[in-house]
Amino acid sequence: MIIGLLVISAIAFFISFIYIDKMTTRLIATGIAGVILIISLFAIVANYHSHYGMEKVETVKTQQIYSADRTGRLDMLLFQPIGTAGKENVYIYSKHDDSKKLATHKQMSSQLVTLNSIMLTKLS
Amino acid sequence: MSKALDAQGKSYNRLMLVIVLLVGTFCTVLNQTILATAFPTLMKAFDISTSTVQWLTTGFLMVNGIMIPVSAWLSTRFNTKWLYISAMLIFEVGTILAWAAPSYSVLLSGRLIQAVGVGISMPLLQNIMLSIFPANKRGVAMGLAGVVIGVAPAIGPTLSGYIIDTWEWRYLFGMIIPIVALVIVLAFFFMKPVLKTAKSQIDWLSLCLSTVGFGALLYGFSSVGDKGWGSAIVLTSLIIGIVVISIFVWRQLKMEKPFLELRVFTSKEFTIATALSSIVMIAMVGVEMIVPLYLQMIHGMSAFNSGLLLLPGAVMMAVMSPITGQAFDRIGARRLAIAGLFLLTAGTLPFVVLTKSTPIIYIVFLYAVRMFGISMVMMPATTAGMNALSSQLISHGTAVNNTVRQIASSIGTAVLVSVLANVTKSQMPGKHLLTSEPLEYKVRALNATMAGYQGAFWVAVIFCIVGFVIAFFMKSSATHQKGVN
Repeated sequence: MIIGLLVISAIAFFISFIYIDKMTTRLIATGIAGVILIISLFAIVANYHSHYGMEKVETVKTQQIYSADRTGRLDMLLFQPIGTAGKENVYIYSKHDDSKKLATHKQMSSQLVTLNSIMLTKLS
Repeated sequence: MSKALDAQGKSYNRLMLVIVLLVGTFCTVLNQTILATAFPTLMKAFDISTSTVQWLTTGFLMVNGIMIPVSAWLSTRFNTKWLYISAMLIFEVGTILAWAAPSYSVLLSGRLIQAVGVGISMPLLQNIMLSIFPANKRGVAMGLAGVVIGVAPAIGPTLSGYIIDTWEWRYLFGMIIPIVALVIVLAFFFMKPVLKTAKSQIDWLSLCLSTVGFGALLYGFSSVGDKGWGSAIVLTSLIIGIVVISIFVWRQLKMEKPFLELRVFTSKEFTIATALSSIVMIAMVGVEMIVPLYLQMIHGMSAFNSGLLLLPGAVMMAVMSPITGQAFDRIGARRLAIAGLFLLTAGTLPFVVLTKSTPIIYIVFLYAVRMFGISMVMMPATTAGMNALSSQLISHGTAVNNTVRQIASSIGTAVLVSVLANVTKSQMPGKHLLTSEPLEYKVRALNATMAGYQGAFWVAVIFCIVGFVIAFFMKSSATHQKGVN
């Protein structure tokens, strides 16, 4: 809708400024079109820059992950630090239950894994 | 419209002449940007580096720019019909050479030969359009020329992306060959010697000075993006360019019958119009180059898709150009220029706060609003400038206007690209972060690139505002003066 408003006001601005010969009518019509144009531009910027009209939605998704040890003997989550500061790690785990025999696997909330911006890689 | 007479007093078919002229020139101008998205393919095909392949465009634009000042002399010296046919023939030879090129050097030669043709045909088009229509219909005529001059370079990248994805690079040139061949054949029947000519000697020294001067200047500015302002090559060629052009200007002003009549600048109207069309050119060409870069780097789009998104803007200009031309004939350039620059400035400002996740649909429409504004300024301002000159000076006026515009666009591109590069560089996180926290580095590097784009768009906005102010200095009347002679 905001794009429609932008297009219409831009065309209206052009037509009123160029094709209306009477001075006062021209200035009034152009002024209105210009103001609507600027408002629509502000709305567009507010939308993409300041996220106007958007709601902040937090989604938490829990996903079952499985031991990195594919033989199923050990429950483990491997990680390897990337970079030397030790703040960023790559976690290694299985995404699918490869061995059906084992009934239980340690479950880990993904929240724990995505503390920082962390890449998840799967072993396979 | 009843009877059109050429320079020899014979009647001719004006509609067919205009069609032949527009189609032929469209094909030539298209070649300015047609290789933009073809570089990776060509690098692979000929096994050459990025800096080598760029010569296909840099060299082209240099030869093109060098030819434009010469065109003033050519079009007042030679029969228009044969000049146009020769330009198209030269272009056709270059195109065939590029199409069949077995090696890079042949391809480059083909491109440079093409550029000679374009350098003649582009100003010739404007010259002819201004001469064969009465002064009160020039707006529409120049609007049609604007479709060629403004739109052909804009669709070049998209077209080449499409052709390379669908066929192969040789068709970029191959598809033009039959069209130009047809244009040449038709030109034999429909092109007429419409411009007044007189036998005059060419001043060889001026020719050399203009070739070296404009060549060096264009080379300098086109190397900025690659090498930076501090590079010895850039500085040397810019200094050589400025010095040689100064000598050139001094010589032209002293000569009785100059090679390029610079006294056209004594007309205030012409000077303002030239400044305005140049600033708009900077705002157009610079952003035309930055926006696809942004789409490719930040949104990860292909060259072809990013070109496709700019197509609505180009189409907008093609549709609007004749309409604004008609409006020009009614009310003159002042109101059009003010309205256009208002829309251009308003349409550019949102780009300053562009973010990494700005929806693409907004970019498409904002870009179209910019082009809408540009279509109201560029050709109407040029026409207003030409109308301020007497008819003998039109060919010189066109050459001066085109030369200034060409240099302005190369300056615009250089400034925007270097602002983009420098701001990005200054905001870049230190290299040690790459080893200590690589992911954090990535995030900050992306932010630095965004800051670079925003900086470049700020510069574009400044140009728009300067243009907006200049627009108010234009004369308001649509009456046509014949001031300077």
